[in-house]
Amino acid sequence: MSKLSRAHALNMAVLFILLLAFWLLMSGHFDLFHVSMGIVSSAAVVLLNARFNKYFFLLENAYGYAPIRLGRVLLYIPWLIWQIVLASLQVAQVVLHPRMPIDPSIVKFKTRYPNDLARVFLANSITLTPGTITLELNDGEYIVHALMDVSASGIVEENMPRKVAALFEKTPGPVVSDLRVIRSAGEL
Amino acid sequence: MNWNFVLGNIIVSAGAFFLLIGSIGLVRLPDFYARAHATGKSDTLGVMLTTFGLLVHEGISLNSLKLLLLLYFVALTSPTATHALTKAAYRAGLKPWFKKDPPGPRGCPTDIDACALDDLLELKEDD
Amino acid sequence: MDKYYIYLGVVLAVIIFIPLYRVLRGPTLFDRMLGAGAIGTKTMVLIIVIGLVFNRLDMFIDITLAYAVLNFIGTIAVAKYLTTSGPRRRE
Repeated sequence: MSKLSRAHALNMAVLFILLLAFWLLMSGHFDLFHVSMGIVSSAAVVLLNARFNKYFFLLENAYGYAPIRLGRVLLYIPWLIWQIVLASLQVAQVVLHPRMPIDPSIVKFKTRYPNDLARVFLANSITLTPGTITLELNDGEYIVHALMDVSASGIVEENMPRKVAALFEKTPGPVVSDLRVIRSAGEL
Repeated sequence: MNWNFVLGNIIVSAGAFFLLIGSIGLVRLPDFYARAHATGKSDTLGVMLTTFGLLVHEGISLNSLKLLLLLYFVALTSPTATHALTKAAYRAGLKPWFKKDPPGPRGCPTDIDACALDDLLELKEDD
Repeated sequence: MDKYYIYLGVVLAVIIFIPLYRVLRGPTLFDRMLGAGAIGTKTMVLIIVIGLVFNRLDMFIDITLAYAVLNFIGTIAVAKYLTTSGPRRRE
């Protein structure tokens, strides 16, 4: 093996600490014997995966990503949890309604996110928020299934895509382009 | 009567309610994509609430750390699994149901393509 | 109040049976997988509740974690299989 780069070594250290924490959590014994066994097996796993670890945690430097803003993420997660609660209440209301007032549509749009992390953030957030599921994601082009008219509005009005963009940039401009709402099978 | 016991029970009951909603939605909604909404959201919140309620009930211990790990894991994997299934369905050509569409043959809620796909995969229920 | 978790377990066992209709009836393979996933998710909760009833939460939580991983991997594996070998491939 050639010489380790700094990011690679850091990745291995982070993985080792995570594995050891997981071991301690699962075993629940903190005496010398069990802890040493944990250290040995975590080190073995890290060494066996040594060439993999190049691409684990510190991808940012390797691919020129904009660093994620941690403060914004801490604000974003409670907002997302609140959205999940709203989504579930909405779905509950629709499911329990005797006539089921659903009006499904498919929304196709493109984004200009520079990196994969933002794309995955948006895709998972869409799946978790009111009445929308990400069907397909290809190079920043999304296909989203919306259960009701109200639920698609969060994307049409660019509310959520902007919030995700704000995780990476200070002043996000317009994010969504080529938006198309499909309401019948013929238009697919 | 401890306060954390009562609070935990209330949260767990709310979680069980959302699990029930997920089940009913899975049976009542008209097509696959709409059903994915029911499992992808209601079930996720149901499991998260029940786990969180038990966490409140348990207090701070090794068990509650494990429950926290479970909470994190469910929040991470549940939307991923839903997305993987819907993507597979979309790529296989399963058409979603729209309000304007007429009901398909054999009580199939989507149009003819959904039933044709079913025949192709040889998973028909009758004969 | 001690009986609460026993009742909750019974209710959950009833809730688990509802998606079974979707698994048995279809109409498409994806509906069946969705139903199976829903059953797995609810079973996770049931296992924790059983652990509370028997006062052995430490043991049952490990089982639940393993079950969660298996449930996730099962769904992903089927989805992956269906994306690579769908009807579009046969054209």
